[in-house]
Amino acid sequence: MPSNRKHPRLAKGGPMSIAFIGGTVIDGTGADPMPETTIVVEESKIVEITQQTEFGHDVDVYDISGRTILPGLIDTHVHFAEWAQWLITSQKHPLSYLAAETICRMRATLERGVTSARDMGGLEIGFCQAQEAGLIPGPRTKAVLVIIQATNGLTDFMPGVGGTITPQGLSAFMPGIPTPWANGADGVREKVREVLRYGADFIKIAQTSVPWAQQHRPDRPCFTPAELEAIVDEAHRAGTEVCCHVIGYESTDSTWEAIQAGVDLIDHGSFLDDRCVEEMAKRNIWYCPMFSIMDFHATRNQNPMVNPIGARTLELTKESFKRALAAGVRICLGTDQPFEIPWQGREIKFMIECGMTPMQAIVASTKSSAEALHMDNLVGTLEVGKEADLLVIDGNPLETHDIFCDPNNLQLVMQAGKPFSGTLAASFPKPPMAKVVNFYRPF
Amino acid sequence: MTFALIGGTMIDGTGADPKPENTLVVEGTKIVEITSQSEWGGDIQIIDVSGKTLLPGIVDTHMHFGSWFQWMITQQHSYLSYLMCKTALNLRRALESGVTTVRDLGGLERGFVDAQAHGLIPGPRLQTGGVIIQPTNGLTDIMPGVGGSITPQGQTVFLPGLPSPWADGPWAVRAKVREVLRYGAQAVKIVSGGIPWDKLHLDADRPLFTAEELQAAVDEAHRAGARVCCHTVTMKNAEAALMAIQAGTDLIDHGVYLDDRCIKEMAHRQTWFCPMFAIMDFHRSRNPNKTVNPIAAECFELTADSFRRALEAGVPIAMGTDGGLETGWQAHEMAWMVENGMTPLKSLAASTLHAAEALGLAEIIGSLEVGKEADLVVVEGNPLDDFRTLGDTRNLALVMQAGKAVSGPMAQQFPYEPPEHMTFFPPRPEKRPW
Repeated sequence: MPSNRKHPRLAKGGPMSIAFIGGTVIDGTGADPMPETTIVVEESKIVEITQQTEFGHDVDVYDISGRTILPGLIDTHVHFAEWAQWLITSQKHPLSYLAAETICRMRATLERGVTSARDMGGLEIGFCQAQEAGLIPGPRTKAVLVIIQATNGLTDFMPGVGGTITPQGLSAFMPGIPTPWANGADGVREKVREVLRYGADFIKIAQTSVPWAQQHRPDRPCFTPAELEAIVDEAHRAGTEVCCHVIGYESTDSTWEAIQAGVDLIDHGSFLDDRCVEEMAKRNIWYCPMFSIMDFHATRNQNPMVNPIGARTLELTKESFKRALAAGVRICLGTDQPFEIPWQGREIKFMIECGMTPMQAIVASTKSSAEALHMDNLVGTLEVGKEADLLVIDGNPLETHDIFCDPNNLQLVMQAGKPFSGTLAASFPKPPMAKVVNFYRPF
Repeated sequence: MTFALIGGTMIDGTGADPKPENTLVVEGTKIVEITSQSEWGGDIQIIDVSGKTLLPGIVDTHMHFGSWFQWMITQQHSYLSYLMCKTALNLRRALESGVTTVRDLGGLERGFVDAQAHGLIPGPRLQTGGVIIQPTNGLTDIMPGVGGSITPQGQTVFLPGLPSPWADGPWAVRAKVREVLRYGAQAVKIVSGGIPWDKLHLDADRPLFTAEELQAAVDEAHRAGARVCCHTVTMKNAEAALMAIQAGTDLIDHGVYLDDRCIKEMAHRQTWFCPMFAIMDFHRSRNPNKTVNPIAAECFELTADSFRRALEAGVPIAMGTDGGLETGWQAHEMAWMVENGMTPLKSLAASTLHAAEALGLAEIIGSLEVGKEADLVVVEGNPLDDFRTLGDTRNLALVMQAGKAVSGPMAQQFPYEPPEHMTFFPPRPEKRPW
């Protein structure tokens, strides 16, 4: 007899309640940890936070004494399908293989405790829809589709420019992703409309390239102020926000122009002077520092020319982060995680090393990131009424700063009230698979 | 890691009688021992399967996990990535329903095959035929739209990794076979007859290719070492099927009405027969297009009749369902084969070892024998009494593929493996494992 038949509520199909008792709750709001506090989950939501430890037969009780329970991590900047931005370099790989890789990365990222994410370039919106519909497991994902940029911008590689040459001789991008290039105030306004029409949740632009790019000085501004203003205006009219990739290296001019134009989030922001951080604090602009990607370029990028420039950018980012923290700029978690998984634990460690308290780093990685993604009505904190996206960690993240780096510490990843991975997940009853799934649609 | 499944009744898939109280030992991905020993030392994990039955994983020789890629033009409201995720979901569900190996005969880009083999997505071990090679006005040549996708850039493309399926004339057919193999197909799928409810103004039984075209396809595929599967559906005149058999195709899919000449020739040439009751049952009872239902009901009966005669004549039979959108078809297929004269053990063999033979994989999978990959299903009770119980995943205590517990309540008895640091860069594996 399969063990799932022993659970009467599953058999009845009634609501399923779960109580985690004995654990220390870090709710993600920045409030002090609550020892030996019980969290009750019903279906997908947190319904009670209490000191009660005795429950009736209609509640499954899980004793997590000695462990910490906290909200799932939220990464505001990942790339699950960066290959889609330069398909032309993937001629050896069928599109379906690359898509399967993306499916694998989304699952692996959720398995490592990231319950929500924003993809910042390359992910077709169909992946997000498929995750939402339950076709594939992964973080709740928002997407920007492409990084809008001027000609000779961030991903404008010559002689190949990103598309794929099909064996039919056609040069095509993914059907659901527009080309990223636009020039002139009218051109960029139209591009913003086009990207939103393809289903993007946010607008991502690149105001600089990368400092090791050959074709121009390291941090020259890509868009003019008039173009930036057109982008921001059009995005705001459409009810969305603009995230701006800007990597200052020799000067802060590009960054300053982006801030002045009213972008909503500065990605990388490796070189921020006092004028930048003051203005960011004043305008409530988010800052997403992403030490992880520069650490990658400094130490693991196989192009040796990049390593010293990556190392220098990492050092600049550390200084800018301290300056932004002191000025009170809003900071969220982002890693730029592309093809290595996971990076979030390392990013949290960096934020603590650069002056955040462990509690501040946790808030930045949960509540603040949820706010940056406008998902704070749903997720980001452990509060009654929020979705049960949570982690059970073996140990105390306030004491062990690299606790998120080792997946062995992650005993449970739960998303929308469903256990997904970790040793504890195995002890939950598994609902039987739906008997018949039918996608048939007559053609 | 080594573990022993003890106490279960073993049906090995070769057609041999069930062996009660046998122990099957798995090390790594393979079956290393089959014994009556039930006491083991401490380094071997014991999994008690008393009262349960061990079967080889089910092998389905004919499914479609990406059928939509054959008529992408009708999918303008779905993102390509969403369709791919559906494929990934259906692959996982097929595996979780006990199907550990599948040949996809139309629509599946090669990348899915490699992605499964490299562990990126769970699913049955896969072979793909890529596209269904057909002449103009053939099986999936739907006018006015003809299958591609109009991108917002204004271009008509198929999936980049799938060629267009149409070829006319022996030389063009030969070139098309080369093209399909170049795109990574591991089998060649061609058509002879169409679909009886399609293009009603034409003779539904008419052969679609000429004999010369069929011979060119078979010759070119065999030179390249690939097998040829031929879709034939005829209801009154089996000429199309006979032409395909005489051209030397390795497997006849559907068949439906096969006359005695066909049966005799198939038995003589040992051409595989894959009857696929399941798809006709779908079309007779669940296809929302009501005009299809009665025609498919007749096809189902004709298939049953051909199946009985083929069985009697000694035609080799491999199980296939034409499924992929719904789960559980294989269980029903096995039951229908029993209802039409096969013994339950033979029906199981047709769905495991014989199907593996039809795929050319019998040295690796298909039966519970020492040295084979540990692809197996642990079932509650005795499935030989009623194969339909296999169609309900609640009766599957464990699905195992390549020695790894995939699903079922017993999967929880295996140790939890925490995720490791992953990197996809560089390079992606280029080796093609099959």
